[in-house]
Amino acid sequence: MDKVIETRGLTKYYGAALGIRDVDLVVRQGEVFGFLGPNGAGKTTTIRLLLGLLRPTRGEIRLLGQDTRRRFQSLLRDIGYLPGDFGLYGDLTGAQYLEYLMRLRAGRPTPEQKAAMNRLMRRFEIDFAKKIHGYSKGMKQVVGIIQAFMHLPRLTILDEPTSGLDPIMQEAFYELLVEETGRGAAIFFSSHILREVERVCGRVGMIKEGRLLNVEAMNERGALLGKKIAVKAPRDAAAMFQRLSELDGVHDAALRGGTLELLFTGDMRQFLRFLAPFEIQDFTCEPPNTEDVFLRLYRADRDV
Amino acid sequence: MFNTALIRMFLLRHTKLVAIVAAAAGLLCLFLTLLFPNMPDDEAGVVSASWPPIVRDLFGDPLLGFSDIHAWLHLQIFNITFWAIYGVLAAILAAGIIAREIECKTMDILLSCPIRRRDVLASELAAILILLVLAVLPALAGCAAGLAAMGGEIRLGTLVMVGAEGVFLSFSLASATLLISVFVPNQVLSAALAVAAYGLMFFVDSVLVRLVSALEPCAFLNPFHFYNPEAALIRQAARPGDLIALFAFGATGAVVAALVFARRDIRC
Repeated sequence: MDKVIETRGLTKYYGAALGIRDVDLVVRQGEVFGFLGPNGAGKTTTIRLLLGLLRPTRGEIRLLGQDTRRRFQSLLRDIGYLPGDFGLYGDLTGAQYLEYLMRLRAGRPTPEQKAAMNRLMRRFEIDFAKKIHGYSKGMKQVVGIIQAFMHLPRLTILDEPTSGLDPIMQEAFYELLVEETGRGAAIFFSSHILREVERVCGRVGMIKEGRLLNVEAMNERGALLGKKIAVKAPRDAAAMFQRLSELDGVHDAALRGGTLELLFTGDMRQFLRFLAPFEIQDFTCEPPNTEDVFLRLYRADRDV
Repeated sequence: MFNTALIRMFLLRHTKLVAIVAAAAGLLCLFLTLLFPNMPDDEAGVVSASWPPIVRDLFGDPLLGFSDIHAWLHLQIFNITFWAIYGVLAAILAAGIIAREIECKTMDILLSCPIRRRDVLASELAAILILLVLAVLPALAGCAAGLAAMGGEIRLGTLVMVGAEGVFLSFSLASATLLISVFVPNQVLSAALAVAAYGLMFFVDSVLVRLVSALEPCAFLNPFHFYNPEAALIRQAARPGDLIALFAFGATGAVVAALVFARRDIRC
């Protein structure tokens, strides 16, 4: 069994309002799949459809190789979920809440599951004996993360998982993701933070206005997200602009005064060779923001 | 169908509230029983005659109540007070099953566990039934203590019977709250609507059915038609069939709520 998530034509309307339309997704065992999109794009709707919290208007969902319309509850034993916006029972301690959820998720937990829960509690060092109503946002997020992984699921669906975590906790969380994929589990990682997705995900799907724009593999050059480049060359900028067609991976190029601005998704060595003959005063290269990437993908999709 | 982890957690999380209500109800029942005036029949007759018929329908005839301690228990406690206390408690508890989970955003994690939605409702309603049974015991003990103090006969079987009727009536109110909360996932609103609906049904059963004879054929649709503590307390003619009917009201509400909830979208 290779595909842990497979959707075909997944569509959800809320009355007349579109949630998502014709989303075809495949997530494979052992990968971290990034699901990227601005707020309101349909990320949470997709996740809630996967988990059976919403009923699709049309389309099919297969999780862990099985159609979710049959024996969905037994599938949930092997799935972990961290919602983007969730509450916990404030009158319980962190430990009580986790033990309760372990009983619900695993029935009688195996020694491996108990060990996993204890390991996770040690990894994220917060006071689990304290009542949850006294927890900070970050501590609640830690409890949410632990409950999503403690029963050793084969698939974990995470919606904005690092929200509220301090940098140390974030590092611990990223290490956890590496360990999880190392044991063959798949992670569906929904976020609107590009750098985070770039760091942890092997492939990424982009969703905007309810439609999946594309799914691409990350690589070392950051081919998907690219770099936002500005080259200040008052004498040569116009000539550079005219020769840009020689390069692959140039998007949204614009000439502003003596500065050439563009989004580059190609081979950076090739780009630097291209610049070499010109007289350059300044050069900046930075990761693009979410809007830059989505504008590019949206335009490309519209052109198609 | 019943998940023990869910039942245990529901009991654990609501024990404090139920203990407070149960203790207060027990003291109230003791206090009200001790207020028995023990009037001679002729004096009670004068008081009874001064009450308008509609008040007698709503609150019971004081004729017997002022001279017979068991009728006094019906008049002061079991006619309204008893089911009102436990009905409101049941509504508050039942509003926690769906409405509070959605309001507090805890529902998503709960439903991502391998439990069917109907099992969540069934388990937590079962927990409410257990809590209601435990909660009425201090009230019945308060009545029994009051009876002993006032020199009245303690009929344990009768007290158990009226207590059971109150429990099942409150259970049906819990189911009604649950059903309303499927459509109105707001704790306060769903509980208030259910209690208001039961208040209206009490009025219909106690007054309207007697005033409008056309309503009589439909009287069996009202749970209060089967809540007859006076039959057990005054006439010592308890009807076990009433218990079954009251339980059926609760079970029907729960089944309908489960069927509707199973198909509903859980929005964030």
